[in-house]
Amino acid sequence: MTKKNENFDLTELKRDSLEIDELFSKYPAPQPPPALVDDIKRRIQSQRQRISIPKLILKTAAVAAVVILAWTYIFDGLRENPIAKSSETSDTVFAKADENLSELEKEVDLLRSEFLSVSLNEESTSGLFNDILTTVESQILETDNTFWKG
Amino acid sequence: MTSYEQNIEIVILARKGDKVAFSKLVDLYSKRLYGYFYRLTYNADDSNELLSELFLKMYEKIGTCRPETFEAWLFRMASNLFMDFLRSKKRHDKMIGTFQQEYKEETPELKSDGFLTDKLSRALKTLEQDTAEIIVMRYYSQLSFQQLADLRNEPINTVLSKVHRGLKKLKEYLENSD
Repeated sequence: MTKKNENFDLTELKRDSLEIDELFSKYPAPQPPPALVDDIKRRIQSQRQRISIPKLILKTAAVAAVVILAWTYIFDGLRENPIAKSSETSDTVFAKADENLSELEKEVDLLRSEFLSVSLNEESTSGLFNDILTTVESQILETDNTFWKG
Repeated sequence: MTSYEQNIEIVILARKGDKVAFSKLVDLYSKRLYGYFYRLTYNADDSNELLSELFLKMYEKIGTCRPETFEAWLFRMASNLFMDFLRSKKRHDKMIGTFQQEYKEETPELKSDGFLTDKLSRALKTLEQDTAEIIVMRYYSQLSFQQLADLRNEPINTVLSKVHRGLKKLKEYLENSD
C-alpha cells in the first residue's frame, strides 16, 4: 500500500485493518467439523491424479496438428520430387537424347567422308579439311620461294 | 525455515502429487476457509459443501498455481466458488418462486442450523455482497488490501472505500443491536 492508495490516510487504513481483526476475533466463526476434514482428506487420498479435459483437448489438438503438418510436408515433398518429375517427362528427355545422338552421328559421317577424300586426294568443294589443306599448301609454296630467293 | 517457506515446500510437494502434502494443506487452511464460507453463506451445511468442493478443486488444479502465491490463488478459487454458489442459489430461489406462483403455495423457509444466529453474521448480511466479501476475505485470507484489489480486478481506492464504509456500517449495526 504505497503510491497506489496515497489518497487514503495510512493511519485510517491501519485502523480499519485492526477493527476487522478485533471484530472477527470477538465473534469467531465455528470450526469445521473434524469429520468433514477427515472426509476431505480421505476423498483426496482415494482420488487418482486426473488429466483435466482442457489439457487432454489441448494435447490431442497438438498431436493432430503435428500429424497434419507432417503429412502435408511429406505429400508436397512427393509431388515436388525431381525423380517423380523426370518420370513424368521421360519421353521428352529420350527424344532430346535421340536428337543429340543423330547430330553427332551426322558429324562423324561428315568427318569420315572428309578423311577419305583427303586420303584419296579427291577434290572437295566444301569441308574443313580441304580448306586447311589448301592453306597449308600455299604456306609451303611461299616458304619454298622465300628459301630459294635467299 | 519460516512458516511461509515451509508452506511453499508443502505446496511444491503437493504439486508433485504427494498426498501427505495435500493432507497438510487441508489441515493448514480448512479453518480459515470454513470461516470464510460460513461468514458469507451464514449456513453450516453450505459451508461444509463448499469447503469439500474447494479442496477437491485444489487437488485437481494445484498444477496451475505458483507456490509463492498459493494463498491468493486458493482464496481466489474460494471466491469464484462462492460466486457460483450464489448464482445457483438465485436460480434455485427463482425456480421456487415460479413454482409457488403456479401452484399458489406459500414459500417454505430454508432450513439451516445456526442460520444468522450470531450478531456478526446478521451485521454482515446488512452490507452489500461484494463489500461483505472483501471484509471477510481480508480477515480470513490475511491478504493485503493491494492483493485483494488485484484479486478482484478493482482499483485499490475502491476496495479501501468499500472496506471503510462497510466497517462503519457494521459497527453501527453492532452498537445499536447491543
